[in-house]
Amino acid sequence: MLLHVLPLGAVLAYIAAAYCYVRSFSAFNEGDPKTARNALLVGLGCQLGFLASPWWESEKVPLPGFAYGLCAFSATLVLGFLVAQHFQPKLRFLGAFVAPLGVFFFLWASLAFHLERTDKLVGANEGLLWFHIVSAVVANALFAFSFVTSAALLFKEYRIRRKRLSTGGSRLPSLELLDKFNSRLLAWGLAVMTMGVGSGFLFALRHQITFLEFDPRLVWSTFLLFLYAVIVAARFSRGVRGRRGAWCSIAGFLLLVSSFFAVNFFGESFHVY
Amino acid sequence: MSTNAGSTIPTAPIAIVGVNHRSAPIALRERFALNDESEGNALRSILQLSTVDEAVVLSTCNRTEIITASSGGHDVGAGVDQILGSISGVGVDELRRALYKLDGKNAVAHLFRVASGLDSLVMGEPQILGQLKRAYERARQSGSTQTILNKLFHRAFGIAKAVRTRTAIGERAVSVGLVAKKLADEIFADLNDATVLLIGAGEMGALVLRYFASSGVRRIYVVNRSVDRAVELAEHFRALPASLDSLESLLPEADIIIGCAQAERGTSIISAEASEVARSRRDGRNQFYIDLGVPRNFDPEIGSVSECFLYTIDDLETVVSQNLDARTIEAAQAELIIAEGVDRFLGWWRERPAEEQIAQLLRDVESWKESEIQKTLRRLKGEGIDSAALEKIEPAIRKCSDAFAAKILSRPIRSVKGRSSETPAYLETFTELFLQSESEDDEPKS
Repeated sequence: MLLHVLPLGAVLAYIAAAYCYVRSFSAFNEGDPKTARNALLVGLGCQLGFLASPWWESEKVPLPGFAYGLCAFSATLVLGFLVAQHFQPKLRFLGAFVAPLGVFFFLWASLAFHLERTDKLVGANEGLLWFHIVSAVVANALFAFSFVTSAALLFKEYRIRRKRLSTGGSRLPSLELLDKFNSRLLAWGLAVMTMGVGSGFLFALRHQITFLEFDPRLVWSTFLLFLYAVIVAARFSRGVRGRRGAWCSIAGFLLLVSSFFAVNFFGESFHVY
Repeated sequence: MSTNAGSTIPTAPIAIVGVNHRSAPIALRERFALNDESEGNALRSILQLSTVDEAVVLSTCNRTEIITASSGGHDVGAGVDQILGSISGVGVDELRRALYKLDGKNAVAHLFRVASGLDSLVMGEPQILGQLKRAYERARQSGSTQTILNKLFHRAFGIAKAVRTRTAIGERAVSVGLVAKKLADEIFADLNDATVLLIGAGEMGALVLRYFASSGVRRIYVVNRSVDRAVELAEHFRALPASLDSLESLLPEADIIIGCAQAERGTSIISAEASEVARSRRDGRNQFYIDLGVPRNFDPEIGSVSECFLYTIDDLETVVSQNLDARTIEAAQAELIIAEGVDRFLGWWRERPAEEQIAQLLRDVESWKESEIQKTLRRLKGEGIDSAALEKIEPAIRKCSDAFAAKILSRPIRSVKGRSSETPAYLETFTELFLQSESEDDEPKS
C-alpha cells in the first residue's frame, strides 16, 4: 500500500511545487515560494521514503538499475536545490526550472519501474559499490543542476538582449551569479564523477571485470568524464563562460541523459538490470 | 458630528486642506512650502481654531497639506484655508483655485493614497511614506495628535506597507538612471566589483553615473575630449580622469561603459571591432554598454557581440515607459487595498461610541457585582457562618455572578456592536437601558 501511496504523493507534491514556483516566478505576488518549497519538501520526503522502502522488506536494497537510479537522481537534484536555496535565497526562483525537471525524471522512473528486476541485491557491506553508486548519482544531480542553471542563464540573457526583462527575468539571480554558480556545479560535478568512475574501476578490478570488455556504460562514462573535464578546463582557462559556457553544460547533460537512456534500453552492460 | 448627505451614518470627522502638483504649478506651490519653524507656527495657529482638535502638517516639494480632525465633528478644518492664505500671501481668488478641501471618507482615502505613493508625481515612489512618517512624528511630539489622527496615520502606514508588499507598484524603475543601474544589477553579481567608464561629460551621463557612484562601484573613469572637463567631473565623483586617446586601453577593464559624448553622425566612438577586441581580453566577463548619445556613440553591432549588452537612450526610455504602464496597472490593485482600508477605518470610527459605552457598562457591572458580593458575604457572616466556610463559598458566589453577568450582557453587547454603526438609535436605546440610572447613587437597587 505504502509503495503505491508514496510515489503518488511525491508526484502530486512535485507538481504542486512546480506550479507554485512557476507562478511566483512569472507574476508578482502570485503563488508563494515558501509554499512551493514546502511542497517540494513533502515530495522529497515521499520520494526518499519510496527509495528506502526496500530496506524495510529486506536488509539489502536492489542494485540501482535504470528506474531506481533515475528516481535517486531526481531526489538528489531536488535535495541539492533545497540546500542551495537555503544558503543562497537568490536562487529560489530556479525552482521554476528544478521542480518540473524533478517531476519529469521521477515520472520517467515510475514508468520504467516495471522493466526492473530486483533480484540483484547490494548488501550493506559492499562499501566500494555503494560509494560508486552514490557518487554517480550525486555527480549526475550536480550536472543536472548545472543544466538548470544554464537554462536559466540563457533565458535571462535572451530577455536582456531582447530588452524584454519582465518580472520573470528579473526574479532570477544576475547573469554573473548564475555563471559563477554554474562553474562551481561543474567543478564539483567533475570531482564527484571522477571519484564515481574511479571507484567503479576499482570495483570492476576487484571482481575481475576489465575495461577491455568494453562495457558500453563504462566507455560512455569515461567519455563523459573527459567531456566534462574539457568543459571545465575551457571554462577556467579559456574563458568559455556565459552563453557559450551554458550551451556546453546543456550539451554535456543531454549527452549524459542520452547515454543513460541508450545504455539501459539498447546496450548489453553490467549496468543494465 | 458631520454626516454624509442624505444618510444618518456618521462619517469620520477628518478634513484635509492643501495644494499639490495637480492643483497648483510649482511657482504657486513653493509659496506654501513650510520649513521646520514655519511648520510649527502653522500647527499652533491651526490648533487654535475651534474646528480643529488634532492636526498634522505635511510639506514636501510636491504638496503642502494640513490634515485635521475634531471630535466635535462639526465643519472640521474650517478656517485652515485662511491660515494657509496668510502664510503663503496668496490672493483669495488664486487661493480658491489652488486649494482643495476633502473631508470624511474622501479625506481618509486621500491620505491612504498619498501614503501609498498613488498620488505622487511619479506613481509608486516610496519617499512620500518617509516624509509622511516624519510629519506625523513631529506632530505627535508636539502633542497635536490624539486618538483619531493617531489611528488614521497608523492605518495609513499599514495600508502603504500592504500596497508595497501585495502589489508590484514600487518594483520597477521609472527613471533612465535607475533603469540603467537595475539593468546592470541583472548582469553583474556585485556592482562593488564593477568598473565604470564614462565617455563624454554630458549632463545625462553625469545623471546616470550618479546612480552607479552611489551604489559603490569599485572604480570610475571619466574620458572626455576636453581633459579639463573630465577632471572637473571626475573630482565630483571621485573618479579617474583620462583623455579620449586612452579609451582603447581602458575598454577591456571596463564592465559598464556609458556614452554621452557628441559623436559625429555615421561614426562611432566605440566600434563593434574594438568591442570584440576588448571582449577577447576579458576572460568571458560581461560588458554593459549604455549609449545615451544622439547621434549614437556606440556601434549598434556591439549588441550582437558575445557577452556584450547594448542599451541606447531609446531602449532605456522604452523600459521606463513600460514600467510606468505596469505601475498604472498595479495601481488598480492598490486602490482595492485602499478602499478596504478606508472601510475598516470608517467601521472603527462608527463603532467607537458603542465601544466606549460598552466599556463603561462593563466597568459599572464589575463594580455592582463586587458590591453585591461583599454585601452577601457580610449577610452570611451575620447569620453565623464562620470564616473558613465563607472562604469556601466565596469563589462559588463569584463564579456564579460572573456567569450570570456574562450571559445577561452578551446578547445586547453583540447587538449594539453589530448594528449601532448603521442605526445610531440602537446605541441610544442601549445607553438608555443600561447606562442611564434613575437612582441618585447611579446604582441599581438590590
